[in-house]
Amino acid sequence: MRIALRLALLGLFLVPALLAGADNVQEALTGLESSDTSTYQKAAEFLLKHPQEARVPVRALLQDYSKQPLTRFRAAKLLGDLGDRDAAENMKAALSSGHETNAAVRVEMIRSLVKVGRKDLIVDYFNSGLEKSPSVNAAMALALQGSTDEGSKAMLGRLLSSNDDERVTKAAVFAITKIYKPALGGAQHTASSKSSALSKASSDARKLAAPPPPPPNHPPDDKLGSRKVKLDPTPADKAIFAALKAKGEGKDGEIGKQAQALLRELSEAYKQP
Amino acid sequence: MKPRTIRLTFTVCLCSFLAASACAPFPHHVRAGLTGPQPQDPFAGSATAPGGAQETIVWNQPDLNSGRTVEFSSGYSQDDIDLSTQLCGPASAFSGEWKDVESGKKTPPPLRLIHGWAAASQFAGADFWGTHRYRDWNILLVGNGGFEEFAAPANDPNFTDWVEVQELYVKNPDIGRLLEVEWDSGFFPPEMAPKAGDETVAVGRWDFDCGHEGAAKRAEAQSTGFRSEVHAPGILISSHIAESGPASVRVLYTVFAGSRSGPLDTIPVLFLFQRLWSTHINALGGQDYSMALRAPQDGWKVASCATQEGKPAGGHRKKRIGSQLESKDGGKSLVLTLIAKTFKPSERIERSVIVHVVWVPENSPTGAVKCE
Repeated sequence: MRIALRLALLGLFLVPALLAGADNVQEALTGLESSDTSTYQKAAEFLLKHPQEARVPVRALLQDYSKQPLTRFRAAKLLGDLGDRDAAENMKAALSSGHETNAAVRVEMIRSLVKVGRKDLIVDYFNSGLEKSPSVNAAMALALQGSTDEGSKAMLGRLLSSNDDERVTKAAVFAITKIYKPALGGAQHTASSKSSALSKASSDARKLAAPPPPPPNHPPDDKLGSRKVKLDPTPADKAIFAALKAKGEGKDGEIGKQAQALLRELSEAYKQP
Repeated sequence: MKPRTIRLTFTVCLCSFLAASACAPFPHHVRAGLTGPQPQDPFAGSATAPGGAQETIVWNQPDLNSGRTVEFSSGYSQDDIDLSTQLCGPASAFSGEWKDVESGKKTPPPLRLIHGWAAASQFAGADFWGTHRYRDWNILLVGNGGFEEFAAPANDPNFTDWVEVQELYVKNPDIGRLLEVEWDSGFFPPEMAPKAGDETVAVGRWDFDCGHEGAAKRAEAQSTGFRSEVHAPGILISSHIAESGPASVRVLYTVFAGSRSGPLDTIPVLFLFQRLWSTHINALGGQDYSMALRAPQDGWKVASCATQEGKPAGGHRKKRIGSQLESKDGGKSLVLTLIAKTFKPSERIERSVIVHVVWVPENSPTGAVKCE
């Protein structure tokens, strides 16, 4: 009897506490729509401190197209900041449905997909061919910087070869430079005496302090300076090299020079780049 | 130590800690309407200006942007990112929050000129008391062409610490990079700031703000380094279209020049002592500054113009810069000259002036240009 009484009392205290918590979450969700800076910041801070309660309603907010784009933008950002990996499917649905017409919201979803570790969905979205906005395509290229898997490389190759927008091509070249930095680093180590005039693109690659793990299709010792033989390019590598070659022969001066310089450096590391 | 001494020491330490964590205040003389959020221009920038529009402020001399040692790529360059991360290393807590972009290459770093449009113009949300006399007035500039060479990769429009930027970005997803202009309001009167949508020219110290890091700090996200900005300007010019019709356009050109910009060189760990007396001086003295003021559209001429003394900044230890306004091309433009050649570069000098101009189509019957 006494235990039951205790449980009943606990329930009496717990229900208002839970309701108050729910009220606060609802209040914070409303705050995400506010144009007042401090109200928005307090709301975002509250939701970040209560990830369990925040995830589901924020996911719903992302796909509520009756809300202002600013609200959906903030929902997309928050899902990334919350590290809500399950929200990746909601973002995928929002992207592929075509309902999200605001490019800034789509860019924020791309960034959040990177934050939650689902770059594969970015590749899928690109492959769907739905995205036409240069700012979103540039964001997708930047999202894949340093991604050495075949899918990402193939996507960057296609993005570079199929797009003439300056912002997109610059972002793609930057992302590609970061992908090949371990190979370029190795090439520089072995071929440093040969190369005197160094391009900005290759200099970018060399200056990076912490190299990421090497591409999975090559043994690690190929990357770190002990290499004697050139690497065999994969089909995705070949697609990137072809795209760089095309850009190098194109009319765009700055991009063309960067592409040519990167190709020269890659020729030190790969067969027939 | 005696208990009383311990209590006294504790009180002093507590007061110092509270003072350190406090935000810089608003100046006393600023009217209440300016301390809150100000209207924003959701479609600022030359890209959205109506057809036939032209820039209304054209800088004549001196040539401030020649011989630059740094130009940011409009794309993404690891060199650009590395430059800011190297300058804003962990040691920046001991050597100041703002680092000249051209640091170490020219001493002192030269003044640079940036031309854009104000997308937002208002007080900062909060500023560290130790490195500000009063809260900064912040202007968010958008631009194109040469503007991009001043904006670092971290200036992409996804700032996490300025919420108004989100609204601007969502309304203009292709807006491009943004650049902040910040000036301690103890040394700059907010009444002389551009309004959102106004064309703006900022001449001043071009630096990285080591407190403003781009991109998210989550491990999965790639850092884009630190944001570049103008902090603080020495000259700020803006043009505001007050009335616009087919027969006449009335434009207010607001010009504020001031060499002082507050204790932004303060070393954070020593701020309790340094902020009391130090102020950064932009070397304005030693040369004259000339700019042409034009109509918003080609084919117009001056119908009338008048100059009015603008609002001064606070403090008394400053000398007044002279000015001259004249038309040399039959009224197609006005040339405003700030005469600062007679001053030493390190002098505390200031000038605040508003030029009212009515422009009419060139074929309108008007007499000779007279500026009152």
